[in-house]
Amino acid sequence: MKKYFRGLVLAVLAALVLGRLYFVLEADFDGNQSAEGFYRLEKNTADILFYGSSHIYAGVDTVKLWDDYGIAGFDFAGTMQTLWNSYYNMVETLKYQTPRVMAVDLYGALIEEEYYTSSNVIKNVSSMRFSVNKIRNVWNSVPHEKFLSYLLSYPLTHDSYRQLQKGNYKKLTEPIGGEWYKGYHPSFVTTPYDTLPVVGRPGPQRPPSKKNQKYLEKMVELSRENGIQLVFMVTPYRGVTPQDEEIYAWIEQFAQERDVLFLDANRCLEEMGFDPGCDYAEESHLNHSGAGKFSAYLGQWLTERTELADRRGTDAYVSWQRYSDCWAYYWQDNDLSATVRPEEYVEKLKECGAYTVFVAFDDRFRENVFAPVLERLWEGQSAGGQYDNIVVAQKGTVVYQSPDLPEFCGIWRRIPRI
Amino acid sequence: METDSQDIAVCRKYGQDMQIIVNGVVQNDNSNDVTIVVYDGRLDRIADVAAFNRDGVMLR
Repeated sequence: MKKYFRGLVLAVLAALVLGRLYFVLEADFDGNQSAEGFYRLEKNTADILFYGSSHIYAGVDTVKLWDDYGIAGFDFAGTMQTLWNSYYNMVETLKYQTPRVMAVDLYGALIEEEYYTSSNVIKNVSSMRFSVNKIRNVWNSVPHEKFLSYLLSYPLTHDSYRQLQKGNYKKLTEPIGGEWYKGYHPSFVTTPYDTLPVVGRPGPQRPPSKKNQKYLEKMVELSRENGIQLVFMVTPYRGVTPQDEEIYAWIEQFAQERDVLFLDANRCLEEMGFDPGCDYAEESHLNHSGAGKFSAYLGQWLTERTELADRRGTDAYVSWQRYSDCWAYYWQDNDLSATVRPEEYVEKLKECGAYTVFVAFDDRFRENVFAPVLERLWEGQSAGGQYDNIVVAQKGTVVYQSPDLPEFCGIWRRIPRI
Repeated sequence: METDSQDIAVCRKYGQDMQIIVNGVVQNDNSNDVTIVVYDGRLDRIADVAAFNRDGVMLR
């Protein structure tokens, strides 16, 4: 009995250690962040989920959908997510959510290999919770001789111990929005082009691979069984080719025959007001500006054709409002860091109660031409001008300032959050 | 993001420049100019770091 009990304790300890070890070594890839964010969603709140590659997480602005239409959406996406990975994410979704709409980006339909590259498999399977669904996801994603390695993930991530940083010990909440992350991961890069892509060229339809056809059918079956409206869509990208369009045309007919909604947004660029000089990050992705235009159009298109509700002001959906608020704060910070006039800069610092302002200056502070402006940060209070001084201010009030000539690090203060 | 406060250190080590340290990360690396570090408590991140030279130049 003692032996049995000791064995049980050791097994539990081993599981705890390995679980923590997995967490620490887990690669912080985009698909993993999306999965982490998905599992944090309140149960049965997401009304629409978008599945697919980086085209989705860079192109579908879930903040825009919320702000303009009250659509509670989530980008369940990862780099080069295949259609089979999308399908298994859809199955996973139904364990935790009851969406009204599932929208699948079709860029994955262009992948013709039976199994896709190792790094992209990791991004799209490793953070799925262990289950029969994960087993099927991995089994269909890699050659069978590699199945166990990918299922366990350790052999793939064990080398990451060389890149261990403090961040590995924190939850994956780095994207803007933190715990309220809804999958949107935009690019702020712009590659200017002279023209929009030429699309809508007449040409033959071309079927996708047999494997992709199989998973398109499985998606249709899954949505029908669960009474969910399925959407097949193409998120705009500059590098679309005639060969891509042949496959999209085949899928469009496939969708029509099965009452699946279809949107090829590459054919609606002028209607969306796209500017080739401003709206693309590069050949494959929209930037934040392009994502905003596409998402505004997408929200209207979905509202007209599906039963998505406006959830703004509803208590159960407060996390979408919090997510939107985080982005508003982010843009406010961006505006601050783009301010070049010191007077205007100081006023913005004083107005925003959430800013804690640290000012470091030496004994020649009074010689600085900006001194009279900067002193407005603690107007009327005694501060500044001391040797090696640091002043900490919030809303125009000095909350801390260093004493004269401190000899060593010994001043730790906890500043209350406003 | 929901903690009530954040750790801030203001310190100087044996003749080195004064440092502003937020959550373990040094924010200013010299004391010749005026350095402003702005911390946004809503997002738990540094919103901006700017320096103001004596000759009237605002730097980032």
